[in-house]
Amino acid sequence: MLLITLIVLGIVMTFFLVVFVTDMIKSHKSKNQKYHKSEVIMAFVFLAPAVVMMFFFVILPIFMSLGYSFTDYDLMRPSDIGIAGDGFDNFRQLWKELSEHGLILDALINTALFVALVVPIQIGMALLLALFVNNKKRGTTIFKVCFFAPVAISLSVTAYIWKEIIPVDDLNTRYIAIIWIVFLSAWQGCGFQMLIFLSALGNIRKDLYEAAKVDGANVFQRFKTITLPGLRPTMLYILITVFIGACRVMVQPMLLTTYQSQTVTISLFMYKQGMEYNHVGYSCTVALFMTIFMGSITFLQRKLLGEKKK
Amino acid sequence: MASILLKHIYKEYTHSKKESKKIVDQELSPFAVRDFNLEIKDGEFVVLVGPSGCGKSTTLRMIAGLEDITGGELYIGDVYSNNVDASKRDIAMVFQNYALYPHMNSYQNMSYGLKLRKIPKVALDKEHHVIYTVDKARIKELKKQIKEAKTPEEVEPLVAELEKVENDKSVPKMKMVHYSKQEIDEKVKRAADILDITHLLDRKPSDMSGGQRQRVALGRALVRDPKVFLLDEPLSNLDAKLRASMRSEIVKLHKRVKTTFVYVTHDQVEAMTMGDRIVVMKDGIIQQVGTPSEIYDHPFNTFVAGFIGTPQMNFFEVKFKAGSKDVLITLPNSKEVKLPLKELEDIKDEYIDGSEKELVLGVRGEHIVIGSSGVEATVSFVEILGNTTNILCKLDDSDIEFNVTVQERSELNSGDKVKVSFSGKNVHLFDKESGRTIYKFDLEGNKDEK
Repeated sequence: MLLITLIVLGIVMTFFLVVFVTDMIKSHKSKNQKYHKSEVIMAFVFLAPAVVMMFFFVILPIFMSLGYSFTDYDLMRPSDIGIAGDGFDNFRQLWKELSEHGLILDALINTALFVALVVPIQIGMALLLALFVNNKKRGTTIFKVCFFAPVAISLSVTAYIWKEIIPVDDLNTRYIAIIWIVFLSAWQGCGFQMLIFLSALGNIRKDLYEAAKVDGANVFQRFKTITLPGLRPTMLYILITVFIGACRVMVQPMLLTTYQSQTVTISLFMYKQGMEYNHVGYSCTVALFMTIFMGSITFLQRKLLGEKKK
Repeated sequence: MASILLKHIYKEYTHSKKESKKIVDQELSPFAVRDFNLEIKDGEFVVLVGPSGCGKSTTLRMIAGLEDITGGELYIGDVYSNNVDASKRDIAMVFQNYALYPHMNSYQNMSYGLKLRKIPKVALDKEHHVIYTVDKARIKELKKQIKEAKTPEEVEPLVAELEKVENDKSVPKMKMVHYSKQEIDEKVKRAADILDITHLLDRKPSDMSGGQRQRVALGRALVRDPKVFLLDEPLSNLDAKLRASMRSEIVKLHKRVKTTFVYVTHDQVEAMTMGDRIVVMKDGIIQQVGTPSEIYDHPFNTFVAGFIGTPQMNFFEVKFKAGSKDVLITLPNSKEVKLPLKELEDIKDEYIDGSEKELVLGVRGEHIVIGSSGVEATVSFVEILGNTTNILCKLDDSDIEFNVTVQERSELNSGDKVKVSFSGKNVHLFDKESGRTIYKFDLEGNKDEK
């Protein structure tokens, strides 16, 4: 454990120092005022706290979880961590559960279904709400506040409120339970995306709408030709963040339902495996698998929808 | 092509409470445009000119349908258009910031309006024969007439005609269709050819210079073959040289397409060089309407006189007393100038009744002569512009400065004493209180006998 921490710390420190030294050499050679020595030192001094935080809370956990995925780390025996079998036992178990229709396959299907539904619904709702409140008419501020309010409320609070509203049977029925979770998540989350869409809508030039109007375009044609292309960069950002957020869904199924095949998700599965059944090693393997999967999809999204370079 | 008629047009924007209070407290007008009356003839090039905030763009936008009209009537062609949607007015507009769709290339920008538009075309059957039908428009009209008819004598012939028309299938059936790809292509390429932008057709707005974008914006308006062209300060984002060349190109374009052009600018040079007629505006009110030379030679009030012409017209507050042959003008430094009355033709009678009047005398720099006789002044500054020279002088025994423009180079220097004079034919006289001309014409240049 200490060894891993030290190795990762070493790598990060080396990287940080290399960048620092390169910049110092550049500042020595370059006459450019931007590369003044004192400014470089100042920049790195300001960067240091962020790097330290990032090291402890982002980089180190990533490397540790990567390392643990090859071990039999059990929460009950934290001082006795050894390589799991030949190192790939956890991966074998993952494959076995997947191929034999274990709970993880349900988790995977439920997560995929959740993502497939919540991403378009949440983004669509956010866009509709943004279009609805994007004017200077009186009273729109009230609507903005109303639409944004769920974002400010704790997820656990809303989950418990909705638990009272949703019929009990629905939460134990396959697919219907997921649809309720989708609805709750989209309702809670879309206010935030609405705000982002609103700021993007504000940046679209008004004269473009006027030009299209004079050109004979109706409301829908104007939306298609001006609003949608104008929102494209924002749309990509929202798509990626909502997608990643959706992949990690855990609190809603955990609080609304029990740990059951109808509603279990990957994150919930990981949490239960690690924190309740103490199989941290296996939990880390699932996390690694999930990270690779999410990373690939995000990469694809960027490739397919990203800004085309000129 | 169409004429435009604006009758008593008013525009009032919705004011916040704070703005309303300011309007009431300072006794301002709540209207951005007030009682705007203008008839623009078919094929005419009219320029709306005035300082910022004078309501010229608002007026143009009301014609375009981008602003609601608070009061008055707007006719495009003969159609009452107050409530017609902008997309249905069949007008084209060129915006100050070009307003080209950023994600489309020039070709797509120009063809967008054409793609959306539907035009009536003769309907053909499968064997490409024209389909004939009854004259539905005539039937509708006849039915309306029958309904309105009061006596049986009136109704009878109408019913007979209706029967005849209902059985007569001789009118080609029309259907509304979009332009074909080939038609769009032809139109875009023809417009591109006129504006010399064929090589820019596959470029996006971000890859073009300001001048090129402006041409594409003009092209987008041109391809539509609209009834009216509206241009909202289209040259103000271009540099001086490009502006001059685009100016002449727009004029050429107008001569070529012979469509009604309404052009908004704050630049009086553009107004003078481009328009068949100029409408000078201030605070939402028309100050004068006329041809460039009418406006320049016979400004209706001190505002128009000062706004049109560079350098600005010189103004002097004078005392004016008409005798039987001469008028005596007392300048602000109490020096007197005598001008023959016959040089000051068409002055309203009330001003030449022999009593002393307080007036504003305006005279352009190019009409002041530096010579051996006249009023004494001191040169304070000499500005050589190349083809002309501006000499700023100060009237002796006063703080009043004025501009003299001479065609040749001047040997004068600051501090030199000069004598200046002007002819009665070139002076403009305005009532001091109202600022209006004391000559017999109204703001549209018509003889005003009042």
